[in-house]
Amino acid sequence: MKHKVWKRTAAMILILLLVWGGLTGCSGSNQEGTGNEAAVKSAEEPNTEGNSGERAMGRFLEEEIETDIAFGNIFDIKKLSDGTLRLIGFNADDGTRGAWDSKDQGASWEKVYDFPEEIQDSDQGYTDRGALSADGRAVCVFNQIEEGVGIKPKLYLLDQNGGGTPIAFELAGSGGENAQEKMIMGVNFLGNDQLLVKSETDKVYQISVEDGSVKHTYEFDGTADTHQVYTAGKKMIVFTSTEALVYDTETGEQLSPEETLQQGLAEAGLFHSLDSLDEGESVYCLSGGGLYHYKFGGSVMEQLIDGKMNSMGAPAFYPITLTMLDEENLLVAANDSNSNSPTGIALLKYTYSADTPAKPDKELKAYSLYDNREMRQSISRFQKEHTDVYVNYQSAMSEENGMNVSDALKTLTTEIMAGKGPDLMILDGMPVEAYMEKGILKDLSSLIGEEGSYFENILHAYQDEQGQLCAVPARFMIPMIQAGSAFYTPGEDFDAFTGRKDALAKMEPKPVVEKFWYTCGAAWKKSDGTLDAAKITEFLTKLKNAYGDYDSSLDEAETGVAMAMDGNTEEIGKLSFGYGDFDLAFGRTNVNIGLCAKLDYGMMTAVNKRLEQGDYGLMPGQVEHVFVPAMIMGINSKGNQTELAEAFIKYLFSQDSQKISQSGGFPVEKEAFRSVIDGHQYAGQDNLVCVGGTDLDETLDYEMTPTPEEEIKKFTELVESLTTPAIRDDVIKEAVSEQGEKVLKGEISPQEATDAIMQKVNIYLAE
Amino acid sequence: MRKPFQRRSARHTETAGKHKSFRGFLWIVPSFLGVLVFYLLPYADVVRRSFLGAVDNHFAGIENYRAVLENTAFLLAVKNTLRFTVFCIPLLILIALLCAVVLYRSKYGGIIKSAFLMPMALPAVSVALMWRLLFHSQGMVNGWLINLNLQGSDWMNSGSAFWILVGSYIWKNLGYDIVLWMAGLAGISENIYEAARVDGAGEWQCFWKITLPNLKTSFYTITVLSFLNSFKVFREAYLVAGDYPHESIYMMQHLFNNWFRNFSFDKMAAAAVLESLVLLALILLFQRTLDKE
Amino acid sequence: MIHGRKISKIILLSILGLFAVLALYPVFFLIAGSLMGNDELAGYLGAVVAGREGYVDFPLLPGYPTLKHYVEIFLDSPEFFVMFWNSMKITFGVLAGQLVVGTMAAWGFAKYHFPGKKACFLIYMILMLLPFQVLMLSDYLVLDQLKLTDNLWGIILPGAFSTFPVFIMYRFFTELPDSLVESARLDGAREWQLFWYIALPIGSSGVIASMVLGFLEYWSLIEQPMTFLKNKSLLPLSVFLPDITNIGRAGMAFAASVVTFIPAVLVFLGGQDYLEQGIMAGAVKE
Repeated sequence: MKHKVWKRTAAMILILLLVWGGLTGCSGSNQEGTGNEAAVKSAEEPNTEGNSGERAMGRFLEEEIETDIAFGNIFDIKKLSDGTLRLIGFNADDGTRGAWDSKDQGASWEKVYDFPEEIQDSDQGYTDRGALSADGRAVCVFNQIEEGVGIKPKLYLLDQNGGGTPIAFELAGSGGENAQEKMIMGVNFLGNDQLLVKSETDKVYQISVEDGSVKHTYEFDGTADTHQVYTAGKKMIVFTSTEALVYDTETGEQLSPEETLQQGLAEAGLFHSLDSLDEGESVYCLSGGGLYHYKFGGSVMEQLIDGKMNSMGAPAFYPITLTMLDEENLLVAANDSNSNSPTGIALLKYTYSADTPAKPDKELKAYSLYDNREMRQSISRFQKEHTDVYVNYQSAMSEENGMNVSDALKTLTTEIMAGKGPDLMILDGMPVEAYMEKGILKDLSSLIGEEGSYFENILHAYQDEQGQLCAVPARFMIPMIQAGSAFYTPGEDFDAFTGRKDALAKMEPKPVVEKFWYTCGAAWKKSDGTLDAAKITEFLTKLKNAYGDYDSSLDEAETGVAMAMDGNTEEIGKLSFGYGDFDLAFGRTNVNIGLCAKLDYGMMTAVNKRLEQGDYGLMPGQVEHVFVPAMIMGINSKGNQTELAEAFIKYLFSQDSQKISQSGGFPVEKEAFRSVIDGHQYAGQDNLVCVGGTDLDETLDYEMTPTPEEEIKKFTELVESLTTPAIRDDVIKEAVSEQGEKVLKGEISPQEATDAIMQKVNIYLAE
Repeated sequence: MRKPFQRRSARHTETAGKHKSFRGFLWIVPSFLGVLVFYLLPYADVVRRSFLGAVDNHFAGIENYRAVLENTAFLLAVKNTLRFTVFCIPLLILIALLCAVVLYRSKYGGIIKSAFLMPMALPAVSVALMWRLLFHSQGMVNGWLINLNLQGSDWMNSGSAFWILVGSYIWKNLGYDIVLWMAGLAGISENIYEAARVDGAGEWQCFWKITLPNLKTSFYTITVLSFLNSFKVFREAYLVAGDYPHESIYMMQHLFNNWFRNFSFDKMAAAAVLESLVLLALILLFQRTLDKE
Repeated sequence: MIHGRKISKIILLSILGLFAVLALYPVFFLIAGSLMGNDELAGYLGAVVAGREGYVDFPLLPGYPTLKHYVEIFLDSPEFFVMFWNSMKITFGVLAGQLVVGTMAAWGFAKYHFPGKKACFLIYMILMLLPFQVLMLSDYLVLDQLKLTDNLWGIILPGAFSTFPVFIMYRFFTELPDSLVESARLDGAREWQLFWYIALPIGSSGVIASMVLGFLEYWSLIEQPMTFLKNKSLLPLSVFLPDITNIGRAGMAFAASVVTFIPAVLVFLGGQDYLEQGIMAGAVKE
């Protein structure tokens, strides 16, 4: 009887729970729904929603301004009261700092004045930031280097013609005793007569331009990582990554929070620049999401420019300043290493075009498992040239949606079969061979190879017997090794290398196995498609020999890694050659091996200098001359936008796109390859810098110089010698690395591991 | 307390017993339409695909069936699935019957039974998490064994994976089957037992002569439901061991999954048709044998 | 003699009790884990999740109990509520559909005769037993034609027409005495009245039993949402779980498991009596 009573109770509780769950669920989702709508109105939505029949027109178009002056830095750009544009910055050609004017909305610039001699770069100090006011005056931060004290920042006021006077203002801790407060991290004009000066600890001083007297100081609680300070009319606006704070600078009081601005921030991402056209009634804000407009007290934050359709959303795009010329024209200076500008400082102009459709009418769907930065960069450039195209690029594993590769591929399969699949795929991590065999991928052989001269050996990695080219790597990585002569002789083979005991000692076991899998795996496939067990045993035995005994203290190091049940990020990043530089240079490991995706000549020489007869070369393996295909492109043969996809692929293999380098691999186009490895960005500056590792005592002398011609030649020849594509089959790799790790740790014998690998892989190959 | 119905013409009396007409079908129409759209139509598509090439849809005849039957992965999956079914279902049904008989009419039976039911309500993902922590090579089970000075093993990567799966299945479904058996027991009239006891039948005799024969229809339902649930164990196996588990627990669904991912719809469809034929044969055989007895 | 039997019965019972506790172990385990702080969890589970040496050791009482993970779920993750609500919609949508369509079909199969009935029922049984993976692609294509992909209806409708409840309820309805139905018919009852006034009230426990099983099935649905839903805001709770186990927020995974577990348990306990009466009562011959 009692039993029944408590069961009844349980049922009652359940009903209550359901009702409660229903109500909260309901209201919760509603709230979110309305919240989304209110906060940001997207750029694509037409203003007249009633006329759904008409196509919405009007969009901002981007144009990169090619200036005669190679700006090495831009501190600020301001539209002056008389309508001219003024810019203060650094001319990289002659190394001077000064001001320039433009009367044609930024198209051409004329020098107005050089900064006074005392604040030009010299042994006494350097200028690293500045701001302009609407009346043409400028303020600069000159970091004076004082013997024994260190750096002491000074503010200089420059009048309209460049005449400079120091402002009598010092940071509280300036002068050394309070180390925390010694740098100025930001300066803005507030009106024409006041300044906002931000210190290293994000403390903001509101001072007078004339005498440097402090009117107000603002402090924020220290939880947020960064506070971006902007002015709009008499308002000071502060952004952190989560909050938008607005202050009245007359009173120094914080104004009531702007909910919409706050929500807009949450959706658009951190705003990097801000400007106002109407004395702070409304503001224009720039983030990776695009350009947004917000009227104070309003309920909508309007997206004027969608960052996905131009450079704004590109990964290497860091805006420096935003200058609104009027409501339909704006200028953005940005640090964009992938722009056409040789210094990486780009000046972009956006103009509203009323007769361009608000949303491009063609959509090209691109898909990859792992996020590809070169892809994002290329998309942003491609769209600039093809304003009628929107490339919708999605990478399955980048979001934290708990997907594993297998689930993602299943979803991809269903979509392709339903005719809703992507038009373009980056095949890295996918079963490329199976896709080719099943006819999922379109033959690309007619598209590739026209736009330049390519490393044919790499381009044709996936050519099948009929000469079809259904998958083409746009980039590649090279398994490389660097070591002193005691552990490596250039050109030696796998036997010779692994013959030295302890060559691989003290390295983490799993990555070691995975790296060598790339240089050995291709040797295991027998002609009938099965794996050669003898080769696998040989592989494991030799690796174990070179590895020696496992040092269990390595375990402790691994514990520091966040608790992760499943590795969902692309493993290949962890296998990078650049990972082991410092370990090798400071003797923690005997060799450095890994997949090289970017030639860091300065680092290689620096490390070599610390080694005894150090040298680098191709990583030895059971197969010689291996490369790892990367950014393998394919077109879905069932896609809807095949022509567009072909055009995009063509673009990806053009020099313009190939020259983009975000360490996703070397370009397959020879000219672009050269430009990526020659270190041209260092030309003219012969700088020696120190780079430090995780341990503060460890520094290397790193020389920022162009790569010498003979090194370029050596490296290019190395690439031309590559013949065999590594197998990028994740199923086999997983099995090998899991078992191989146990072998290196000494838990099982190579023979046992081989059996386990064969068991798993045989099922896979039999399917 | 039924409502008195209005008397109508006596036409119905002609069809005494079951009501024979298409009218019965009307009851099924809504369900059947849904089944047609959401199950039969897709199934017909699968049958069609089993005779076509994977992606290009050329006619392949029975080529796919031949390929499937020669495929060693398929044979392995069939073998494992059969092995699992043959081990698990009788084992589960017997254990459940045993528990049901003991718990039936016992004072604490209800509570114990409820405890056995809990695992069924656990989400598959939580179960997978547990399994991982328990049977990992550095998991809890090995920890306990080390404490007892016994040698542990890498459970999920050896033949024992199969038994873990068997255990998992029984653990999850035992409560469910106990409930079914107990309900079956409850349906046997007490009078029959009393009559038998009067005739001098012992406990065992009662069990063999009365209990078991009366549980025959229960047995049918329980078997079908247990069979149905045996497919669900794949979820845990997949969540713990992924696409390519140890060969002893490589099931049909693993194979389907992997074929699916690699666009091998030709083989997949053929295997699916074969599987449904086997199911059909099994059900018919099972019904036939039960009816005969 | 009687005494001995009693003792053996007690022994048997206690053995079973012990097994029951063992069966419940994972439940305790999850509850304990959900109450531990992340550091404590990391300490216990480090061997498996972070590749540390040693073995996982897990006490059933947290050393420093905390409700942090529950707070995190209920207050700090709005997506949790969205998913909870999605699960509710799916589960109750499916059950409502089954309640209408399934009971009618079961009644039709149980008490009427029409040509092809046996074949039809056989088809229903086979469809019930076919694993999801078999029909996955074709299902998707059909749903796509109906514009139901990336839509909760794409999960609810196929669920509502599932043949499983028909099978369960069919067995129940067959055992309603024919005489009862016939006499009602003689009294002039219409067919729908038979269904409404006889089948449903007397068969209610069978219907409830099938609903309880349906609830468990659809509450922990994984494959269908993963295949048919792309929009993250539509995913149900059952797929939220793997999400956090993967990223490694183990504490939250434990707490989410418990929260997902509770409704299922309550339904089970509440419906247990009906489950017993419902599933079997019909299947037993007099």
